[in-house]
Amino acid sequence: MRRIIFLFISITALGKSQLLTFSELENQVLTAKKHISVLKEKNLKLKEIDSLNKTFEITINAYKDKYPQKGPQEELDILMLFYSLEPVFELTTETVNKDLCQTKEHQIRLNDGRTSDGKVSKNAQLALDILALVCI
Amino acid sequence: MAIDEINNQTADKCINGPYEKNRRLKSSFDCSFSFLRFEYIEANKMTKPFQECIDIARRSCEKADLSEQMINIDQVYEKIDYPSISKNITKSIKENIANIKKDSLNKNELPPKKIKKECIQSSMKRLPGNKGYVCGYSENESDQELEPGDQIIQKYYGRASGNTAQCIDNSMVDYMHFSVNKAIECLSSIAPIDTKTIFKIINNETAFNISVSSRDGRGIGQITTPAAEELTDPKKGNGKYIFESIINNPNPACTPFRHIAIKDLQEGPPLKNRLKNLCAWINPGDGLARNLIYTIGYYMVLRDIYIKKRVAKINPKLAENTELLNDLTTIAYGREGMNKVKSLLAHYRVNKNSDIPKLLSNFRKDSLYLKEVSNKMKEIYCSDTSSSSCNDSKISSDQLEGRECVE
Repeated sequence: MRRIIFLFISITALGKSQLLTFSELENQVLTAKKHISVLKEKNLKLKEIDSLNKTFEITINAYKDKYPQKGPQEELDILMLFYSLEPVFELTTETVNKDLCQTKEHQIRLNDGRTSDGKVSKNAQLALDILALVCI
Repeated sequence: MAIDEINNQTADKCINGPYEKNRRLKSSFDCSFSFLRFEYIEANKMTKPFQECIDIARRSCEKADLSEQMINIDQVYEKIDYPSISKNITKSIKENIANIKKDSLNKNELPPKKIKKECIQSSMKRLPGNKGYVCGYSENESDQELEPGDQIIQKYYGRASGNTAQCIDNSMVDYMHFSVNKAIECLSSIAPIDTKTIFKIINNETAFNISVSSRDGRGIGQITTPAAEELTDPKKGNGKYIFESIINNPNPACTPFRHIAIKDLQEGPPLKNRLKNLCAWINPGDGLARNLIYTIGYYMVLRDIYIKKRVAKINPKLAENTELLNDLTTIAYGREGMNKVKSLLAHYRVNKNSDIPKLLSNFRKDSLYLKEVSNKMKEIYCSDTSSSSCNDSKISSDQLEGRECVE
């Protein structure tokens, strides 16, 4: 019985931890960016990105499971951040070279939409910063 | 009040307000020397097309020695030989497209709908408000020979609102009506175009004012660097087929646009030195022609390459719903971008059983850009566009959706 209760608590806690908020995820992206900036090997940088991608996937799936009809506003913000970072996440499945980096930069800017002041959004800027760290 | 009633109240004047003295933009239209303008003059059988231009040039083309400028413009126009222009274009295409595959042309048999002139007129009454620039010819006296597309010297005239707003008259509306529908006709040979969506996008972006520019938005469709690269740089984007199709397209409607498609595929779009190259996007000749093919072409690429494919993967039936596709494409075209489209599809759990009317309503509630587009549609049916009450005004769904603006 004790075992079952422990298992139930663990699953509940795990479920809760998967339903991260936007700011929690944004902080994770900022932390990953910091880590990547000190890493020297491209493979290690890509590993960090892959792990970040997985965190997003788990979170998005958790929202989907909890809200099968329509997600809350928090989820929409998370999705916007995820899709801004998507071209960076795709680096993990391709051979990183100059051409690919240029294509990814283009995709980040194109998908971000157009602002009258010509600046990209905060999300897209984060994606561009991480891309630059991998594409050195 | 119906659009034509509103328009009749201001016939033959500055239709956008009391800006009778601000005629620099109007002059740039009248002085325009380009293939698009030639087509317009020819289509309208204008007998003395350039006398008016010379008179206006005297007033506002801003050259110290005005008599010399008049002679230059006069000489240029006198030697226009329309048949040879079209022959030269054909020759130029033959020389330039040898290596371009000819398989990108899709025959679309249905003729495209046209945007009604009275709707463009009502839109052009609105003051878009961004920074405005007019384009003139070189003031260098050694530049005796003008070539089509030479209207490249940009001058800032102030904001396209308030005291600096430029007079828009019916001749400018007429030319815009001709030009926009010509571009729609040309590009419709590639794939069907939803004319009312093009109208709504341009009405929202600039109110058909070719002269406005923001930091990275150029002219009538506010073309940005990534949008331009999407259509011309195959290493980065997927839209090269649009320009290849314009080049290969035998449709005469493509004549004023072909040389631009060739040039931009060969040399890349004129994006460097933004201000120096601004007139390549905003002058009333090649600038307008370029901007139109990029604006409509970008809409087509977003819709057919990105959105339609993504939606079809979820549910092929959804991808057949033109209203849904056009709403999503409008969102992607605007400041919310493709990320918003992807996010909305995920957020609303779009699947095989999704209810389309419900989705449309939800997307419209959640997209700021679609709300803006809708409010700007209300403004064109509002007699006092300076009033914020336009947003509260009630118009029919045909008016709001732009169905009344196409024929």
